[in-house]
Amino acid sequence: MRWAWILWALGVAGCAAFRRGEGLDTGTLPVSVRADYEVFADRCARCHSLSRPLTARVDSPRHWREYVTRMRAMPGSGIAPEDEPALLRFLDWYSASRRDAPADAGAGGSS
Amino acid sequence: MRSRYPMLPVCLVGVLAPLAAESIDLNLAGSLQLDYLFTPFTSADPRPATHTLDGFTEELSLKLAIDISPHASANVKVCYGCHGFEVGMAYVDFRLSDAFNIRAGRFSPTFGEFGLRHDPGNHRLSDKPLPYDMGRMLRMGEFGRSVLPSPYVDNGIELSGSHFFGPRFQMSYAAYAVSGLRAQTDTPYDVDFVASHSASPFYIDNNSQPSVGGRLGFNARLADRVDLSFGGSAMWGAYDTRARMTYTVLGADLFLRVVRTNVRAEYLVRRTDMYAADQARFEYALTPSAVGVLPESVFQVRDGWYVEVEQPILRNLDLILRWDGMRRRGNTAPGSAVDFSSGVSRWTLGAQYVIERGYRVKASAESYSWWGLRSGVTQDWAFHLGAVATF
Repeated sequence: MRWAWILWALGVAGCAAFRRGEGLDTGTLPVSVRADYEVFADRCARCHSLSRPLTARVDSPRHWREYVTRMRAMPGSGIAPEDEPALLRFLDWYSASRRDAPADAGAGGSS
Repeated sequence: MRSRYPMLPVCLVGVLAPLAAESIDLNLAGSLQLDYLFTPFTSADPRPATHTLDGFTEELSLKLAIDISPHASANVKVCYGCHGFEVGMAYVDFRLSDAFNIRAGRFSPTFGEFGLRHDPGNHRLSDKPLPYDMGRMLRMGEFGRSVLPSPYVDNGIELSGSHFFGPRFQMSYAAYAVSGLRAQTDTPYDVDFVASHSASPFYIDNNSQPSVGGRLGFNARLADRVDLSFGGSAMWGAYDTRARMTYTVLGADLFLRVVRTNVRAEYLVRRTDMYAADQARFEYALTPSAVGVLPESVFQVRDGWYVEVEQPILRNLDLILRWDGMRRRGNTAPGSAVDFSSGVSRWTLGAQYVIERGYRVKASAESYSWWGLRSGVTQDWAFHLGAVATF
């Protein structure tokens, strides 16, 4: 039993040492998009991991608008029409920053 | 052949919608899960060949989402798993408004809450809750299949929509007609889920009677980062080749999110007719009618439930605790592996660790408690270790 606790503690410590998540680190985001990101993280994580939209090959604002509309139409999505502006502001910013970032650096950073 | 007629609207929308489109946006996404299931057994309890899908299993899905216009989109998804390559989605959505969406083609009819998360990239444990299990539960050869294996994919048409009452309350609905669950005989004991997945009967209904169903759901944003959703689902149809044996599936679902803690719960029950008319087909005595004639059908009831708590511990580590179970009650074929009443209760403790965005490791331990198995087994353990990628 003692070994189980030691393994558990080592596991948690190991995970803590590599704090890379599915989403973005809000501390690295510009203050102007943090509130929008919170709406994005809150609404989208209900049904799938945040890596889904963050790795989606979507670039244009028009495509994001159609993408979000399609997600919102899912039964029980919980995404209100009032949420769309915040979601689109964040996703447009994310696309733009991803275009501008070096190839190996995700926008907002994951660590 | 008759069941091909519902495909007509798909073709029409597919042909006409692009004519009005300014341009078409494509998004290719996918997921894969490699899972190792270890089930320790003793020499006193040898493992039957039909025990479970233990060892390595892989599930792969590739999905192409096509936004044709602000009102029209199409989705095509190919899956690879235990049944080989399959078409998990091939449908067109036409949104007239938020409250009215028409979906036609091959899709998963809306039922319960788990259906939206059936992809291994979207749920946090390696396997599905027992009422939705599709092969990973232990002793499935003895106990039989789940209430409604997920994803349940079928051909047909679905109307759906939602309406917000202010920013906090949402009501959503879905109603559909699909080919329905199947059995490849007119004297079935139960639904044959493999018949819905094997390649040959993909596009051909086994009877001319569509199955119908729907879901009504409500979502309330109780406070900032506190959401409550609940819903009810139903499905009805005939499943044998002569459309005489019917099934009814009912479900209730609940989702509660408080800050970063998710609580999910569902209950499903399926009542399924079994062809009777001959006592030799059954182990337990059939009750004749007043004039001494055996009934044409009797029924079995299979129900299941799960309650699941997802709790982030660190930014990249979630703990998941789940209690799920399933019961079966009804007459059996002679020599059946289960009694008139049998069931299973399972506790699962699992973790999901995010290595990098889109790359995760899942691990879990499961404790099964059985009753009503004639093999006399009452307890099993199982362990999962898997890797998941979403892209």
